[in-house]
Amino acid sequence: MKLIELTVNGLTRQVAAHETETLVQVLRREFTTLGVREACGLGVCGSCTVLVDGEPRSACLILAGLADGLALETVEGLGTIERLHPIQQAFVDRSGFQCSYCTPGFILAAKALLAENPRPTREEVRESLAGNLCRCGSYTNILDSVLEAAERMEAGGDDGAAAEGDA
Amino acid sequence: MSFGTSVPYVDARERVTGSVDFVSNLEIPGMLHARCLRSPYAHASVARIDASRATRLSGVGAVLTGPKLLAQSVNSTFGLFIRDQPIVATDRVRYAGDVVAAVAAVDQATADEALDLIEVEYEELPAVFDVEQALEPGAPILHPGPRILQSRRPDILARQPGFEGTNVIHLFTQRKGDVAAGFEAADTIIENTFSSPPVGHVPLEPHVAVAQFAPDRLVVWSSSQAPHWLALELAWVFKLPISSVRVIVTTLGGGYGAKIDPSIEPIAAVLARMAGRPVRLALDRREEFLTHTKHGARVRIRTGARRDGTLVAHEATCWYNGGAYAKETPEKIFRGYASMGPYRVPNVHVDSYGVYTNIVPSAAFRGFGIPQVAWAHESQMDILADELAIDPIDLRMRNVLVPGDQFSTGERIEEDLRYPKLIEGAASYLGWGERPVREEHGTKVTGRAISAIIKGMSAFPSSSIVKLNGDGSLNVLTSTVEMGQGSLTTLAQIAAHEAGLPLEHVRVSTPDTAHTPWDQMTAASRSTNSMGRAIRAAVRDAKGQLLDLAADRMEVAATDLEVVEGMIRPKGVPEKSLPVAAILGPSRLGNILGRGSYFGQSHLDTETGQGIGSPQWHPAVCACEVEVDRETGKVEITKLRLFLYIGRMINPINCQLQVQGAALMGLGQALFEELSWDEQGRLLNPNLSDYLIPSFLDMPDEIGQTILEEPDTIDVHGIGETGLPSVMPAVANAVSRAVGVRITELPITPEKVRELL
Repeated sequence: MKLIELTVNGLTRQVAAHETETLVQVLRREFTTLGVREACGLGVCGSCTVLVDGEPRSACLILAGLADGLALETVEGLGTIERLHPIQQAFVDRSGFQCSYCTPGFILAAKALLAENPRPTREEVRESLAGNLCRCGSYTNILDSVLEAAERMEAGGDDGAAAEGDA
Repeated sequence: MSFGTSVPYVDARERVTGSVDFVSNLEIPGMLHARCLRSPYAHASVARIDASRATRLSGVGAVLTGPKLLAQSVNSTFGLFIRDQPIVATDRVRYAGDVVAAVAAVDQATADEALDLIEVEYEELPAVFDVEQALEPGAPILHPGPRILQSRRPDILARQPGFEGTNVIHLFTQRKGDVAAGFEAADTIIENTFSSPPVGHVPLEPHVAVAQFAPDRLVVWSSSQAPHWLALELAWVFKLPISSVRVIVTTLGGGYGAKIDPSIEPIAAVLARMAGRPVRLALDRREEFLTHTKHGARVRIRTGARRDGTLVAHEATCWYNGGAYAKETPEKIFRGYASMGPYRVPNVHVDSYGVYTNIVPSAAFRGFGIPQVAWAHESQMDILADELAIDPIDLRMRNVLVPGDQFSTGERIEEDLRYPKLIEGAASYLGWGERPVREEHGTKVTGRAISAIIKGMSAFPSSSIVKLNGDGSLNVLTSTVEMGQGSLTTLAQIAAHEAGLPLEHVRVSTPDTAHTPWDQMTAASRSTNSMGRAIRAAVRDAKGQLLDLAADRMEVAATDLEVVEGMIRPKGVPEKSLPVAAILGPSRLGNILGRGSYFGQSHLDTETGQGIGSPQWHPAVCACEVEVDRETGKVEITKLRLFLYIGRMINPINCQLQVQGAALMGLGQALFEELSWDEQGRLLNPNLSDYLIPSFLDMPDEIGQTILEEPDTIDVHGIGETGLPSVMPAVANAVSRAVGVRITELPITPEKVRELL
């Protein structure tokens, strides 16, 4: 076991972890960020996506022993149930999921995309989110959700952190 | 009213914030974590197993091996139709990946360490992987001993004794008309064999179960699609009354059929009893691939037709590869009844085998046996069309079932399934007759084609209780499992519609077998129809009681009252309406209970396969356009559109999600999904790096659905599976139109196409 310091959604804590544990296990156990989910364990499906410096990373590929000092964001850092982030609201309004096991990963990947490219084309969304897999096959609705979010966030003129759902 | 509108999922906010209650989130104080030791051999006797070092390892709570299992007062095997699967291997292992021991420890790392300390000596046995070889005399027999059969299906039981000591899991036969005379009368006879490989379900949330044992009571939280069926099976294993076994299911991260049959739950429960502590068993991705597959299948099909295209005879032999254990195979092979497709064929002869082999056991998979036969009959139809020089659309139109026609089961299909309209829609979408079905541009060639399928719905009972509360709100108690299909929403829409209540006042339960009544399973596209009917009956029961109360209070005959948006209204006199609460509150009843059940019947004769095949039939037609690269053989699906008739849509956006999800799963199976084994029977690609599932990049440029409705009905079809089986043959037919290459073995890989070009 080793003590590591992690900053998760703005909260900094020292936690104990096996060096061989992955960040997914540590985040779920120590920070109860249950939106971070392991599905493939190989970094190919995007279900365990977290944002590190705004960039999507697969938490299943990050060993706890190498995560000391990391600051990261999970879906729990976006909106709350009462006050959704505009991307989350768009996923609600466009039903951008079925089982939703992959949804936090898609939402975080979409956030990273929209930060870099606020009005992506359909093709750009597809390419950018190709590293996230949805076995339920909700891709059309996910695409519509991301484009809808982009439109609303641009109209809202901010990063949407305080925007209300406006379905 | 919400019925018929695209309301968002009732739990959408939880889903987008990551806070939805998956079974995999569950933690219980004192819980141990289990891991399984799996056989490296496809077929072997377990000569010796020594777990003493594992048992002594610090942090280990329980170690389960064959001898320890047999020392307990439990039934050591389980299974939905044939109880042939040991909780852990007791005498032999039957596939590479079969569970030979399991450990529960304080954490997974310790459990893994303990697994390394278990010594197993195997004596290898000859193995068999091919379905036809497994049926040959002298083939290695996987289950030589007497079979423990479930009693609930007399039609299956009756035939079973003949199969003991063979690798036949079960055989379905269908005899209709005179097939020899039919072929005699045919102008053209064609015969082909089509095969499809095992593929993975790949729910992103792998199987997970947490078991807690009190001395005479078992509670299991499981990612099960069939909680009551699981409770029944656990009651058998532990020799407990069903009332002492409680299965709780919250929400699943996908199922697609993989989570119907019990698999990991008996292991977790035995470990929990041994350890005296709760035990969690969660599969990793590799183990998920090693636990269930879709049945690989070979279907040989012989078709006789007149010169004008009229089908006169159909003969088929289907071999479904069941793998090491029977699971749902005895039921699944009945789908041989659809091996001719949605067509009138007067003379039919079908033998459909489920076969034991030494590979990963096959389970239900979205479409339940239909994709395997649809791949055959819809490829065959296009081949036949070419043979007869008839347009493939015309050939289908000439033969397709219309109301009053007899299906292969002998039953007359009275519901208007609208096949001609669906086929016309697909043809028109592709521009059939307006432009060539084949167009060249450089090295790429475009081809267009369609397919048509018919799918039944398993006939099993559903029941529900509703609780109309004093404030006029409604709880629906149901064992339907929310696995992403949106049942919490659509069932609430059904209940709200029937009750006359606003959607926000209706809440649908998740399953808890101690409290929610029996439902067989959430599968077979049956919940919306079957549970929907049960819920409607329960609501009518409660509403009847409410209106009787209201009749006294309002001095109006109950038959002259209706409930609209939470108000009890004398018909035609809206100003005299009273809220439901104004009647129920003063009644001091607390709540009104309503109960309802539905059991759609089907029965097929054991020898002839004649009778009723399904309480309801589901039609789908697929329109597909592909672009084939003549140099690389790569097939790209550029257009994919499904045409369905479903009675009525309760929630159109959920229908879109389900249909497109099925279409994309079909796309994966058409183009690249395939599990493969080495010569020793070891699975070569049990991970998402070597086994690909469709991503955003595989999505066709155009993907969509056209859903026909009957506006006057509120009787609905399920929709979860219907589209899938039609996709693979539509793709193959389009490839054939483009480049003249006929692929008969899925998937349609660039290598296969290039080789034939």
